[in-house]
Amino acid sequence: MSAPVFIVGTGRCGSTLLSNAIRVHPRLASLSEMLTTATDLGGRIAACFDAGPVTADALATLLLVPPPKQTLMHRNGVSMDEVLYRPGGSARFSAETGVPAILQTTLPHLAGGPGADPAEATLAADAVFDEVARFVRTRPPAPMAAHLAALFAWLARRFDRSRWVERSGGSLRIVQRLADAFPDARFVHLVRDGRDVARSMSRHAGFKLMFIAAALTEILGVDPFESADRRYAGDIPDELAGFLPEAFDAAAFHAYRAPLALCGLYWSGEILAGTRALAALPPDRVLTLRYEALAARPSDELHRLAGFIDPEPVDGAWLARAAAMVRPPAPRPATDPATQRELDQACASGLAVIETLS
Amino acid sequence: MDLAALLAGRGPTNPASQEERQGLYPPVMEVPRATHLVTGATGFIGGALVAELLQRTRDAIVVVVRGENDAAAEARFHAAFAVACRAYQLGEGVLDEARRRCRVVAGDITAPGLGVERHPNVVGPIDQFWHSAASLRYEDRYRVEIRNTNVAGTVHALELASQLGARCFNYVSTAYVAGTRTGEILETAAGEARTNNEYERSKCDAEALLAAAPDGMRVRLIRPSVVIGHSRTRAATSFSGFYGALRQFAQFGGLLERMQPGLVQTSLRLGAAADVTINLIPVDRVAAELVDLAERDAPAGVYHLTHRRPPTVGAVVRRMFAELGFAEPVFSGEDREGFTYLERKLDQQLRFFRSYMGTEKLFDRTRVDGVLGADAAPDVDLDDAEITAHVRWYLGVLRSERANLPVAR
Repeated sequence: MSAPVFIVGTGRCGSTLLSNAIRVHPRLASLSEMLTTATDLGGRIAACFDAGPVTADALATLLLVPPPKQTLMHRNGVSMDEVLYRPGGSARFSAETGVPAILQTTLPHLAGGPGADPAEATLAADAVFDEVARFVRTRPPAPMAAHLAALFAWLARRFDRSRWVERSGGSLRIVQRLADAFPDARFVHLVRDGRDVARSMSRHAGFKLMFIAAALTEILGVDPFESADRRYAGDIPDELAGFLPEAFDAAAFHAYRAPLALCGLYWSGEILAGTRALAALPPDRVLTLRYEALAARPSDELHRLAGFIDPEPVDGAWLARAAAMVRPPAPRPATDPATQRELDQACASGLAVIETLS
Repeated sequence: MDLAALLAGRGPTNPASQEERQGLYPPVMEVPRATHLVTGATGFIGGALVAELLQRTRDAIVVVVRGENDAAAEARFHAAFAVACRAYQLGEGVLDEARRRCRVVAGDITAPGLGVERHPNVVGPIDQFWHSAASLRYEDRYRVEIRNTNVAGTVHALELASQLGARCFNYVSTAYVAGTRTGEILETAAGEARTNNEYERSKCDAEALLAAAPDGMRVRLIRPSVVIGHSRTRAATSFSGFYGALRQFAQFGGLLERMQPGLVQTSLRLGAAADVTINLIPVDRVAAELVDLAERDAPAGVYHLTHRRPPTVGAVVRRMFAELGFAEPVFSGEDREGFTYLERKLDQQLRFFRSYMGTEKLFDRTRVDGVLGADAAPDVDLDDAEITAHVRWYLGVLRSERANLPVAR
């Protein structure tokens, strides 16, 4: 199997489109959101990059057991659009049981195929799950990177593809870990104007929960989704108390908007740290794509993408099919001048950096 | 020694000799002349008070502690007291004394008579009733708990004190019942003070309720300021007030670091006044003065257990920011015009502490000093080095507790 390829970005930068495009490629296996879901929206980053040796049981806990944050989301009907699994009905897992990380998006995306509706994709994923579980549970102890590389290669073979491309929303924040764990990896970095990213993050269930979890974690001194320690619960401001897992208020969560300035600061922080890590790699291992260019000239940009990932000549039929998936971005909503000014300031340092990217 | 004997007799506290206080030889076993009842003994002030009583007197101490039963309460008290003794480096002798002289009973501050009115180990007379149990919470969602603990709890404590014929009822209140008043704050009834938060309101209301104490019961309203760790070890056992503010700064910094590495180096305006004072008082000084007041048979009334030369908010906050690796803040006082998102966020996070960092309160100590006279010990200088030592001690605690926080990247 050839060098690993990861598509990284800040999240809300349009990278799901790239996974969908790769899914219809004849030679590429599109592994969508594997790292987002395995890290449970970022709470389990250290475990997902454990240098090991990691046992099959520990690996299974990350991939095959419903993770706490995503389970909370299913139970409260606040799942992300990217989650393709539809629990309940004839599906193997219900909202109450929660859904294993690998079933949230990765397997339905792979097994369902481009035309499948979510219910069909769910059943197709369920049908593969036992095979995946067998593979995972028979792994000998190894570093997590070795486990993931083996699993990704197995999935590519299972779906008759010659190479895999992993893409997870928000994976720019772990790009240094990816570069360390997969020393020959190649990276596609999709960038988008931070002000648009921030607007999208502000309303996105996954990012909202990520921001809330970050605040609660710093206040409590533990990850509230992994630990029942509440010795500092008195420090939680009233406006966050309803987002503790044991007191989760789904209506309040729906209504909550992450502050735009906070989203902008986060975006800038990810761009600053992520581009620093990517800049340390040989230039031929990094491809930067811009969402705005992709939206304006989809064939050109997808051609660059395919050429970077796959040494074979770009498949014209694929290119046409993938380019047709690209839709023009929605117009920017109006923002009051003061908020816009704060958002501009929050994004300034990140925007300055992406200006310099070739 | 049986409890009836322990509880026999009454009068002022029974001082131990200077040698005994220094631990040079064990206290002489004799029938105590005084009996104390302490609520809140697993708390910060209550624990230090019990330690002080054990070291300075030969008196018996009844300790009312939460617990499913007496055995559970006893275990809880001794565990908490051991933590306090370690924190203050008091040695095994004090722990042994606690096991010998403290009678621990399970009670409930929210129950009439603390739920111990008919307990065989809680019988009068009591010389000094020390009511230090309190809720230090402040968010609105804790309003019922705050009222139940601080207001109803004081009613229940007074019921028990009355039933036991307590001679003195010492209510550990707070200097900040002064509420929104500024300038010189006298040792007088809080009256109709406007308060800044539910915590202050509850302490004001509790003080007012004590006017209903029976004739003949001497009620002392004892008001420490912001209590910090031991003056020698800097260690504390409870982390509100000074520690709560420091922790909130640390939490804020941690969140910024998760959002954008290095963001804490952004210089922020803080809605606080650098040159007003914040009255901090080490816990051992509070405990010492509590016992001093009892030993000197202080009359009823209000007593401020406060620092005579408190540091400024600027000095304290600058030391906190420096130790946290933050850029030095700009103190904007009450002016929040044009605050950035981060400044608003910080201001919002510190809303409970805002009133303590924005206006000047100078606490008069005439009554305390009048009772203590020339024996009053000098205050520990709370200069930059001393504040830094207290800040570092607590940041060490926080960092060890947070060593396993999930990474952000």
